[in-house]
Amino acid sequence: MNCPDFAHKVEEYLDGCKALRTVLADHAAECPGCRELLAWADRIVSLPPPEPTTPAPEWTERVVQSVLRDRRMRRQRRTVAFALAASLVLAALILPILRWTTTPDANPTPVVAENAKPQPIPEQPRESVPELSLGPALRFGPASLEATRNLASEAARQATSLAAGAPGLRPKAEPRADPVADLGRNATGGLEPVVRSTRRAFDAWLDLLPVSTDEKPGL
Amino acid sequence: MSVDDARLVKRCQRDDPEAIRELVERFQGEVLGLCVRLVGDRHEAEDVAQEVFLRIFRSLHRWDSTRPLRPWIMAIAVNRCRTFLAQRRKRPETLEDLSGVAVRPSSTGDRELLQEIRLALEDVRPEYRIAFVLFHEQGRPYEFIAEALRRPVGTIKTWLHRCRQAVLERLRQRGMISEVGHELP
Ligand SMILES: [Zn+2]
Repeated sequence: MNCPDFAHKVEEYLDGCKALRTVLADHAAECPGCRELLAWADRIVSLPPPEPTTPAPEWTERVVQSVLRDRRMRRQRRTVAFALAASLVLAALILPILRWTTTPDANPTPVVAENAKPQPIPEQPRESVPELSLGPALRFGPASLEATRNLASEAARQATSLAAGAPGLRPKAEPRADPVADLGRNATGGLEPVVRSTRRAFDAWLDLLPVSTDEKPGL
Repeated sequence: MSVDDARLVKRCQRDDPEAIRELVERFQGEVLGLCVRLVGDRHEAEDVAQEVFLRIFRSLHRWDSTRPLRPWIMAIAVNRCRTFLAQRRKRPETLEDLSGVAVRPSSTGDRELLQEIRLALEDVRPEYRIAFVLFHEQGRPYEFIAEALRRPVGTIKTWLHRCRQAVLERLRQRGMISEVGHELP
């Protein structure tokens, strides 16, 4: 064995291969440099384990108390977090119900908006109409009508006040509630007053309502 | 896995104060011993060991009861010591403390050699020292150290090798090993 081989074997010996000790000792007997390396390695492999340290009883008490305190605090924090989460879930469940009872229908808004576009509305076959707007109307009945009516008149009021505050935007024609039959004919020229569109939309929507629910027993 | 350990842990999870005390008393000697060895200062080691126990109880629910409890606890202790040493290393006053160690006179006896090895370990990177202490002093296998320090076995072997080289170099500088002595590969 040469000296570089010896150094490699010392690494293996340090890694736990105790059987190499005899081979290493043979070379070390003839080589002073390697002998020192082996003496050092011997010291390393025979290092004593850290002695268990006996703590003072006060230290043990301190640790136990801090653990108990920590667990108590964490339990409280968990309880608070749980209560908070439960309240949030409850709120998430209750709020829509409250909204449901105070504002029966939010659906008419898109119906009105859809119909309020100032473009000619093509004539549609009577049979296809109920599928567009009948559902919400049947479900919420008079409350839905009332809400839509309120929405339309509020839109009209705001449009009138807007037009009054901006003379440049004054429409060519005076706002008036056109009969539903005129829908699509008057909507092409100039700036369409918002109030008329809203009223038209509302009238058109009213017109689309069925006469009685017997026509659609499935709903 | 000891049935006794598993039962004790279950009682601790139910916040039984007697069980908590029993667990602390069962492992405090070893945990504190390791902390003293790795941290050096007894008072600091006691603070670190206290934190180790807090962490043990906070993560008891994560202990896999099919595996032994002792290595799991010691791994937490090792990790906590490592964090502490990494933080302490950033404090400049610590470096001054350690530099004071280097002026001790050298001697040749076996006891002195042991002392010099331990002093040499003060100067190496904390993770090198932890790997060295766990492997050479505690007789832990590479796999345990790798798991405790969350590093691959290959990294642990490299750290250990570098640590031995650093210790050897230091002993040479201190005259504990003559210049004739060969290097590690
Ligand atoms: Zn040699």
